Amino acid sequence: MKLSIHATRMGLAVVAAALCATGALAGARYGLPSVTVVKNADGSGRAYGTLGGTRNSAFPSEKLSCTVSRTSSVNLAGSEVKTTAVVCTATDKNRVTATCVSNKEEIADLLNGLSNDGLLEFSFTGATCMSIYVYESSSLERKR
Amino acid sequence: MASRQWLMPAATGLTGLVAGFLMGGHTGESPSTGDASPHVVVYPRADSTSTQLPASGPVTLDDLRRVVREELAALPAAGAVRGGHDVESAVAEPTPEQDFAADQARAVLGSALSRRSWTDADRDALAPQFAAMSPAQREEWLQQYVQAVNQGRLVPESELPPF
Amino acid sequence: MKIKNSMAALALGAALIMGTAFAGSKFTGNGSVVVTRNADGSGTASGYLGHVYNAPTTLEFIACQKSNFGIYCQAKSEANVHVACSSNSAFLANGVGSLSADARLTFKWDAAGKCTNIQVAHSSEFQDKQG
Repeated sequence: MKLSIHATRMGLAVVAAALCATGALAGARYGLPSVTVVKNADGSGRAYGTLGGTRNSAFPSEKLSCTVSRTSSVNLAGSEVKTTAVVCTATDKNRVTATCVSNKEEIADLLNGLSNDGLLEFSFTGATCMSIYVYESSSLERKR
Repeated sequence: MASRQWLMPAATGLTGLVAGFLMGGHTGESPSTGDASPHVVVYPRADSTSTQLPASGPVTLDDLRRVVREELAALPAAGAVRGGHDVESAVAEPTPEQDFAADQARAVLGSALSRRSWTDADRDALAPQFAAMSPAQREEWLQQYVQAVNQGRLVPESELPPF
Repeated sequence: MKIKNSMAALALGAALIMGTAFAGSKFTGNGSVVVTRNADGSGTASGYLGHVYNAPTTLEFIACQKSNFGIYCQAKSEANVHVACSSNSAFLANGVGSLSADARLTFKWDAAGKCTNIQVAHSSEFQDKQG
């Protein structure tokens, strides 16, 4: 009897210690189910997810990313020629994929400041990125 | 030549230099029109009624000061440059498609208000309408939504923003 | 018995100490979300993202979003008061773009619910999200 009480106390102490170390006894967490891909019949759709939640996901197929590439060159007239390329892609746990591209500077600018715990959403029509949403919150899970 | 014989040409040359300095910008060049920096333009322009040279006698410093003041006063007002543009500008009348989208969006909000609850399903229903509305319609819809949340008439059930 | 209790206490203490920094000034407040609503409908909300994430609270959060359609900021206090504002100002959107997981965010809105001020503070004193 005494042995089992002591064992229980030890077990509780270890569990509490582990929980404190992992931060599980901590603030509100936004429970977004990693990556969501919505495709409409007319070719439009959207995809969204949290970078942290997706990386930490139990489903290895899930991923979510946007890449911005800016190129500068000088033409024969000596003027700077600037080109912008944005590619966003998402794959959900069922391996449904969405990809879109854009060459608009304002789309690229919206990705400035996206951090490792951000929520990223993009909408598309066909292969063209139409909108980008970047959401930062105290409750979003960070990459582990 | 003897040194005294150099005096006359030197004095004459010096006088010419001073006179040229005082005469200033009578160079016949047109003032730059796109430059906002305060150039001193002495050359009388056809459209300037106040920039007048004295009828007789050399140009004085007071003349220069007067001309500078007149030219500065004639410059465009400071700050009258195009400011940073907003994400969207609301100028044009909405199209029938935009009006339809706005009606649909208002219906989604109305339904949510009647339940006093905004859900992810409402967000999904709003998404295509929100993108299709005009900037002014979006602004009006958001104002209704935000005021309802701030007044406690609408409770967002999840953290996802409405758009 | 005593040895086992001591071992349990030692394990707990070691875990609590784990991750604690030992140098530099730290913000010692709780960093909770604070919402102030004025009678005319305007108001202010502020909070420390990292502190809120790490806190043993369940409801509070503070956040901002930027998109093609402008910015949207919202906050909920632990007392379950939810507030929000929106704006199509590209100027304010620049402020939202500087937000990070360890920042302090403050936003203000007018009576119409329009965001009028975005303040993002970064400091070595603020906690980062942990866990």
